[in-house]
Amino acid sequence: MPNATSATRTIMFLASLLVAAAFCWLIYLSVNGILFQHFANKAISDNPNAPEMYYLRGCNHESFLNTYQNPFKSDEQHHEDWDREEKLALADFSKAVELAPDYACAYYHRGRCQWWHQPGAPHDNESIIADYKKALSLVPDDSQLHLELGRFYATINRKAEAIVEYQKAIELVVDEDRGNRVQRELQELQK
Amino acid sequence: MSPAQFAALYFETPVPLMRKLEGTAYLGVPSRPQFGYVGYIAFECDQEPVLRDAQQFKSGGHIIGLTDSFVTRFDAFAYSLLHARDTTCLRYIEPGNESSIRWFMHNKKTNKYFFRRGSNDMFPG
Repeated sequence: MPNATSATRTIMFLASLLVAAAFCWLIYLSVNGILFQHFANKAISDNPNAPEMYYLRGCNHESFLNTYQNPFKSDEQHHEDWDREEKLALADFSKAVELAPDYACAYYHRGRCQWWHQPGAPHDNESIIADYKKALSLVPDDSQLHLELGRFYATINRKAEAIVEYQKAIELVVDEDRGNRVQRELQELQK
Repeated sequence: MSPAQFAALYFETPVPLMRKLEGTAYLGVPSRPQFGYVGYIAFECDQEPVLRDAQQFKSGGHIIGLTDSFVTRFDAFAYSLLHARDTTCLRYIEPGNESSIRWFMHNKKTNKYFFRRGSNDMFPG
């Protein structure tokens, strides 16, 4: 019995350490995001014509769309947060391309951000395609842009255009292993 | 490994010609030193630096992902890379070592240069 008690205590101690570490990590992420927003807002108010800060602040808002739901928030709260962050990200990327029309990165992130729109909500397909195409007109050799545009075409059942983009991605992809994976995706699409 | 030593491994151009050289480099896989060093460097240079194996470099890959990674690491020093119209990006896959890719990027309107060697896991494409 003493051994069982000792083992239980050890397990409880390790579990509490794990919970504390997870809690610290959540606090770190929140503080990091808040601090970044604070400095980005300050930089923009000091120099409202700097596209870089809008772009970086947009990426910070966009990063929310790529994170898991906070377990302490309800679904409704999560969707509200998502909606807010998405709108803020889109506004920042739009401002960045208004100030610097050759910001391929901003077009790419704006297109991706719209694509990651809340699950179940309708997409503005043409707007997403326009952003990807604008980014591609500026960096025509970016394999990932071709691949993502191809995947988007596939999701909206525009198979012929999807195949063209997949083929371009395969030509430009960096390594053979990745090329083979894209090739397999293309074969699935062609079935 | 210092950024200067790292630069000397991958550029023909003498390191003293590179100004404001900064970055980081370390042994990619400590248990496999033959994998070599991986890292990021950025510098200014009045003449275009010459890469070792320059003829092997070509365009492609996830250029936007690479741009973002340089902006994350070098902050304002790399902002000019965001202007895609003036930016060039080249990459070279070392033979027999697909996880070692050399990337070279610069903006034609500035004399700032960026180089990375490492695996392709950081970003897709």
